[in-house]
Amino acid sequence: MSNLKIVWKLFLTQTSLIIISLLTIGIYAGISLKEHYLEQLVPQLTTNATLIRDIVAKELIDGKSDTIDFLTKRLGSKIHMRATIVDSGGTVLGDSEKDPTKMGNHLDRPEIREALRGKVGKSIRYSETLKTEMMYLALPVEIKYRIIGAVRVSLPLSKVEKMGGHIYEVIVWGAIIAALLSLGIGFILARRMGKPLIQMTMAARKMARGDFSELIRTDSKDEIGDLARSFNTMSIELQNKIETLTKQIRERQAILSGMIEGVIAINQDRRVILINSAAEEILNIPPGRALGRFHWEVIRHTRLNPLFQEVLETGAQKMEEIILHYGGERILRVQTAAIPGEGGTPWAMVAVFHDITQIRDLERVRKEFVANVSHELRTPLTSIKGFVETLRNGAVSDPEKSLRFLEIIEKHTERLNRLITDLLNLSQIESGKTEANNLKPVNLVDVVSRVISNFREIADQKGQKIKMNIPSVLPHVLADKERIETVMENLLDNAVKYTPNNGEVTVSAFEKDDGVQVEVADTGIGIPPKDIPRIFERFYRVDKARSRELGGTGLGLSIVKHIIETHGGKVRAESEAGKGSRFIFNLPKSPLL
Amino acid sequence: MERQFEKELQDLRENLLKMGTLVEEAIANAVKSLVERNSDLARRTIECDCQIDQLEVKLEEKAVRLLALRQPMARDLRFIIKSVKIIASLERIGDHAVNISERALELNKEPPLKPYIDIPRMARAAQTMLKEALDAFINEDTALAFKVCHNDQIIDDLDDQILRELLTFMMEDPHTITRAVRIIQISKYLERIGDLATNIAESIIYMVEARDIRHGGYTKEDPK
Repeated sequence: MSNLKIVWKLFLTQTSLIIISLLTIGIYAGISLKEHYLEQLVPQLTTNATLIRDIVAKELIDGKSDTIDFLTKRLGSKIHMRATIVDSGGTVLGDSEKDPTKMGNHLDRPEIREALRGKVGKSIRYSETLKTEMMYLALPVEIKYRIIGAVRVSLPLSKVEKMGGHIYEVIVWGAIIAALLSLGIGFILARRMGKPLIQMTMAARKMARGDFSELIRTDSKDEIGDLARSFNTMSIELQNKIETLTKQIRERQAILSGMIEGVIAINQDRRVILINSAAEEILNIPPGRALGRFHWEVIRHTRLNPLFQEVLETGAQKMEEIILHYGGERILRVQTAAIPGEGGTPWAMVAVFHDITQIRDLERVRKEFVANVSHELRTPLTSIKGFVETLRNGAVSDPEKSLRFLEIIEKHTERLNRLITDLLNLSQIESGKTEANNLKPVNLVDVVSRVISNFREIADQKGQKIKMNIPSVLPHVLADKERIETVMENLLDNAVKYTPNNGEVTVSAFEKDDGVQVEVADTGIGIPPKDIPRIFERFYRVDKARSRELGGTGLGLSIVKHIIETHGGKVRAESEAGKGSRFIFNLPKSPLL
Repeated sequence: MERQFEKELQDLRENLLKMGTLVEEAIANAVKSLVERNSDLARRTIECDCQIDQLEVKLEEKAVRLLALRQPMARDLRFIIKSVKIIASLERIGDHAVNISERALELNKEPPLKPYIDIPRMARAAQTMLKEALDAFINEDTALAFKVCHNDQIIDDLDDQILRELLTFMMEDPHTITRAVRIIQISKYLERIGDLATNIAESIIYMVEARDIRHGGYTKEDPK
């Protein structure tokens, strides 16, 4: 109990103060009371002594010591005081309480000596005769300016002593009562003050642990009440501040982790102070590994680390493209910025990584596309132009030659036509002309069998078999019928073209969870693995010479891909070189009507 | 004084990793120059090796200075001694990257014998081993170091497979012999890179656990 200390402190100070003041007052009161009492005794004694002196003066002149003693004894018992009569030689003539003959010479008593000199003698001392503290007062007995003796009266001081003792007793009791009272008051005060203090201590401890729920209840108007109220205000303010901060941190974290760009921050000690999950993924760092470590420990790159160091040293803003080697080559654009600190050098730096591998790939595809289109268009045009020139330069008069040349020109024109039709188709599909209202439930069995029948003749010429492996009950798909026919035509065209004589082409279809899957498999020459990812690109040809020889435009598969994708499906190719290829696409099921 | 020493050790670590990174890139570029028939890249890779060599000299000097001036004990001593070994291994790996680039230059002058399938696979395995060895070095991760030691078998198997495959080519057509031999050499270089990565991993285990597992010094408790 920590409030005990306060009780004790209050109690001790209060009690000691009370005791000290009581003692001071008591002692002072005792002393002054005694003095006052003694002062009051003097006139009383003087009056009595004067009275006795007047009575015994005559007897003293006569020297009748018997009468003197008798008178003294009577007077003494009347005034309840001891009275003594001595002659000028100090010899006791009469005493109210003892036999004067048995008392010694009293000349050595100070009060008597004073009285015999003609003054009033006063003395307080211990009486050997009566064995008690006494106050004595002696007066001279004068007859015609001659001192013939002295009268002394005395009173025991035991009364005074008793009174003093009583006063001290009262004071001690008072002190004890005061101490008890102060203990009680101290305890109550401490409880009243201590309770809110203890509550505040507890609340402060909870606050340190992040729990702001406890408020101190108080209705007192004093300083402790003020303190408790300020404490409550502080607690609420702090809670608000911390909540705001936490929210800001969460927001920042959400933004950082939601970013596609990798973000990393490194401080002047070259340690990682912040990294988002995208950066961890891009830089191939296990989650949570990087924080607090040196950047050169977690990132190993011959360009990045010197770049970071440079930025930390100079604060320069940099943008660079770097190549990462792990897990396939990737191109990153790195942007750095310094976080300014005190003085010239930056406090930390931030780097942002953009993965621009895809952008670079797209740029390459686009460049290749333009080059390819020009090339594809020019090749037939060059031939046409050449043969037209030959015809005009005279060959036109040779009917046999001119016919052959015209056939070649026709062939190339057709090729150009096909190419342009394909390009137009492609751009149409790409620009999203296939709209939702063109989509109708289509029975794939119909489409496939019709397209296959178109290819029967060519296949028969090459001795190829076209097999159809489709269950009679297949759900309808939601599609644009003409476009799906184009897809099937293109795929079958390729299959028949690239399959040697006596080969086999199989078209199969089956229902899957998410739609209908269609496969076109052949036993042809196949596609090398490295080309598979690129065959759906425009003008991409595995074997340029052979493709052109077979009359392809290089756009067929690209068209297939775009049609399937506008239908919300996916297309892919599998192949084993020399054994054949398989093109697989799926289309979403038509909702039941 | 103690802090200064700590800083110097840190500096050694950092530069050792820098060297490791250079070597990692050298292997990646060497194999790329071979597979993509990029002779320019091969030449650049050969040139880059002098950087690795310079680092080797510089780091060895640093390590010797630390040994002489600081007289380190226990863990620090093991760290410096084994760093010297790791530096030597890294330099040898760098040399093998140069060798691969040189063979690539020769091979690129002739028509391709066959598409490279197992060589890139082997290169990837070797790169992974080196990467994991360096990761184990930074994180003082002996479990990972043990894994590197065991993964060496993958590379050895691939090496055997390449040898057998190319033997059939050579037996069928003697014209392929020069090219096949060069590919076999490359396969051997990669196999050596795997061995050197294993050495690095063993050094790390000694560095951390003060226990030598070289030449079959495994115990039963070691992870398999």
